[in-house]
Amino acid sequence: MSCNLSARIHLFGLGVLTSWALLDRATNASAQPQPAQAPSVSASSASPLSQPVLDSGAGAPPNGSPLAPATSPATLPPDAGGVPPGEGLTAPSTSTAPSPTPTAPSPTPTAPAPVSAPAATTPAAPASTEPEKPSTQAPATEPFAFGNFTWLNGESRQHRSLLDSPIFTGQLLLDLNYTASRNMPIDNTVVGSTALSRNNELTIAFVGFGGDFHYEHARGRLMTQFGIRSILVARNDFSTFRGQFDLQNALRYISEANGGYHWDLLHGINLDLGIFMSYVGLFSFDNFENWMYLPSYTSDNTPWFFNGIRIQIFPTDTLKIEPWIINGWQTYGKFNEMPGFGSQILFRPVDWFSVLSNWYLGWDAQDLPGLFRWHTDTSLTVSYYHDARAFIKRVASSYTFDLGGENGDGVSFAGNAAEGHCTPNNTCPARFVSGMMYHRVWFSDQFAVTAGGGFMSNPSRYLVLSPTGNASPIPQPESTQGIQYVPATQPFDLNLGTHFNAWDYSFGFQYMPIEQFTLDVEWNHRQADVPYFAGHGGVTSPDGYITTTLPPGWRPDLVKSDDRIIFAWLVRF
Amino acid sequence: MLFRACVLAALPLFALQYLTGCGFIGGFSDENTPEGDRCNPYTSHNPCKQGAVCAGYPPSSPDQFQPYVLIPFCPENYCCSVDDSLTITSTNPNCQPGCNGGAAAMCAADRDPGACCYADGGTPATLAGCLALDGLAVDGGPLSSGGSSSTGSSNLAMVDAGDAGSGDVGDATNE
Repeated sequence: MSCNLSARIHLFGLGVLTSWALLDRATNASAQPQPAQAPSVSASSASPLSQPVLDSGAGAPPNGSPLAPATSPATLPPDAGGVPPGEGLTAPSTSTAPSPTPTAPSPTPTAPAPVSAPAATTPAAPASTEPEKPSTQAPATEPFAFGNFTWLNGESRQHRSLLDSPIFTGQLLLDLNYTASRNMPIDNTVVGSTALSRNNELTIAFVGFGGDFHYEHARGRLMTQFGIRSILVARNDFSTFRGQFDLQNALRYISEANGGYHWDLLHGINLDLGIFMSYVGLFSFDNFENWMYLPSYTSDNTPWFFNGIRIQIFPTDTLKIEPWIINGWQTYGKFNEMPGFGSQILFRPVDWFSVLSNWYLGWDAQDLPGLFRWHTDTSLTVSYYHDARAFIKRVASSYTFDLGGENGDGVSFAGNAAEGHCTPNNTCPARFVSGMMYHRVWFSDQFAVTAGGGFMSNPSRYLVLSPTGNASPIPQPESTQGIQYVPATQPFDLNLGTHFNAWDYSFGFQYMPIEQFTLDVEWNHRQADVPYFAGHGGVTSPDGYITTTLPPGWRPDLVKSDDRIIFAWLVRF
Repeated sequence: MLFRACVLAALPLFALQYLTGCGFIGGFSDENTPEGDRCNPYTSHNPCKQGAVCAGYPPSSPDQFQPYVLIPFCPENYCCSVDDSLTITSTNPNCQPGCNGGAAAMCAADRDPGACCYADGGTPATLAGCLALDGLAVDGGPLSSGGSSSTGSSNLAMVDAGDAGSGDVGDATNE
């Protein structure tokens, strides 16, 4: 019932937005000058497109990546999404994003180019040695290549890849952060985030190298994952405790590993298998692509990756439809016998507006095969001011709203039974309602400030990131550093029927002197209606060390609020 | 180019100056922990604000640097105001016997008879009796307050680090 209602709301909303955007594109195509040649580089959120080259963890660029050789130069407009001064107008397109101009060979070789549009000004790189034959049929345009989307939240701002070759486009990401909480937990541990982990320490959050392989219509992407996120994200996956062979350790050092094939049908169709990025919640797993380093709950608590199959279909150059068949909700394995199903719809009718919508249906609870989870996620991003020559170059906002729930085996979206009294006839509430909005202003290409925040309500806490340490309700043997693992004695309550409401706000500043570097400074406040964040006493032991004996009954110090400052040092090639 | 390099270098320095000069003295510091907040009983100095000490469960290691004040049936450690004789004067719930649910947690953890006794009753009148179940005793006069008292002066015994776990909370002081 709830699922049907949600689906109807979802479809209705998408229909309205699509109609409006199509009308808008038709009427405004000439009203607003479009950087026709602006290369879209990465498509993060959108992503997984065809391939993406530069796109980091996020995935592929929204557009399918072109098949054309990566070496051909693409002509970029002066304001094509913020080309750094001094780099000239003609830049080889290397980015993951589909090549902006059809003529220009796609920057990222990795993505097969769905398109075939002839280049206008730049000589198209020949795909083969055979002489070109005049074609009587106009080739399909490359998806999303008509505009510059590098300003989007969750999208790479890079216009070219420095590590490019005809068959491989390399990528390196270095993500370091320092964060300090006013709670100053004595165990230097952050609770409740997949972006932050250690307090008051310089932390190597993510070091990944890899890239996109591309040859003719075959494609593959590999991105390794070292640093603390290889523990921080994987620890939330309880499916790995089903059965043997230690899936967490087998896969934690891989953030993306997928490969597939591209067909030149419609505006491009890609089929990939493996681990690929999720854009549920708008923000990219690759913090280099985000407006803020620490996203609100809507993004922080929803999946960063999926393990399974995805098909990317580009019916037009403004639309991507991407169905998935996956093991589960950010899981390496499966909880039950059914796989998870979902899809993403990305619609960008003009280069100042983007709609990203995801839905998911899966069975993701241990020993509860009748309990299914449904989730919808919709993001609108609008750039409502843009003047390439002004000091304030661009102003944009993003709005994300998620609605979901769990039904069956004692819970429902609208249940009202109390914890411990969940029955099929008297269900406990299990739903997820969240939203977030961010507002960003760019000063030239080098500086930007962002403000925003969000909220989440999640009865039954099925998307609450479980605290760690002695408050962890899930096993975490990797955190014991070789010391005999002892299950937590005071786990945070994740039982059905519990309640959880939280909100946050943040302010941030980013300095981006070149496309390969970002310095991020931000302030974040988080608040919950139950003790959840790490307090001064931490969640580990009386002195914060896991080697110290716990007094019987020792309780982790969980508090209701957390204020912190964050510095991030991000480098990406 | 030079300008960019200067900006790049100046920003971290500015941030560091801010952190050390403003943020980390006080709000972000491990010093001057307010009353009722958790504290580290193992550290070599008193982490609590002036007039308070790190009270609660005795450290497991002997010869610790800090004297500590025991809070009966409390599995954690909190900064609590004390008088000159190291008697807790704080009214904070975390500084009272049982420390705001601590007795129940100890009872649930290992069914400690004294903790279970106090978790059920939780009044000053029952404290001595519950301590007796664990072979402990209260030294000195009658307890003047308990978990629900508003007067806030509990005559809780002190032990020094070397006597941690010796059993008699009233026999040793760190004076």
